[in-house]
Amino acid sequence: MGKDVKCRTVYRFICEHLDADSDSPRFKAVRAHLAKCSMCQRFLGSLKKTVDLYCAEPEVKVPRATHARLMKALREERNPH
Amino acid sequence: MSAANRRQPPDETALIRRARDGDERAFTELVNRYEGQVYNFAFKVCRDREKADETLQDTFITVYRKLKQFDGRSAFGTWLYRVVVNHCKMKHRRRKLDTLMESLDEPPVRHDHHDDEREREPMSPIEDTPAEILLTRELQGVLDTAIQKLPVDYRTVFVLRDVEGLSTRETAGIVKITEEAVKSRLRRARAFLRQEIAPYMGWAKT
Repeated sequence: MGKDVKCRTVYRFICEHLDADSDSPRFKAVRAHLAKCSMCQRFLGSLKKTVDLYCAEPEVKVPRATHARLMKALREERNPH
Repeated sequence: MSAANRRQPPDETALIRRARDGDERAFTELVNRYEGQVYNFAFKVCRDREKADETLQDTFITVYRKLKQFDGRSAFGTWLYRVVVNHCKMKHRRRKLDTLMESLDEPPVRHDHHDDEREREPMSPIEDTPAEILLTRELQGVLDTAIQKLPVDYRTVFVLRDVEGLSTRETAGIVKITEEAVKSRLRRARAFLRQEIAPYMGWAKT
């Protein structure tokens, strides 16, 4: 990655690496671009928030009826008529 | 199946062995341990209770039929992921919901932001994500709609990597694609979902 990193390049990189960190020249170039590009900073922030929102979704409990149907299906599998 | 649960508990090897040998109680114990995780994964991918219900049943029936083929080289949880991912995909394709292309084009970045003085859309600030995010029903609906537009092959990678917390290598092994393909699908899925929820969140589209 060259000295003057374009937003388009950073876009691809951010989408893939998101939270990754490293001292590689590539990461350094991206960090340098982010330090001076508020648009890319905002994009990174919004991408992280998108992932955070999906991670924040609550766990869904298995309904009792679903569990009962599952156990019935397994009994039938074990003892087919 | 969170990252914490993926390491196989020490007693589970014996439990799996017994289940494989036909011990019904042992198999029931396995079901009880993993049904919540399978159901949650199926629901997060398909966003539909009925489909999650069916996928849960299909998954454990397959596990019952094929447990003898589980050789223990991978963790049981990993093998189970493979089964549920396959059922999610089959269910999705059977219902012919993939009206979108199977692959996503990269969302376009029109040009460098510094190049165009006209591009000065007002944007609401991106708040720091609080430790606990409360999702309103409306926002939940937006998230559901967005992920349902994502082709199932991208959805499963996104849920495995970003939501369930599996590594790229683990995800590649489960979905049976290369690690490069995982990274590519994840990149596109993240960008797509961000793009879809942008109007609701008040973010500028790229």
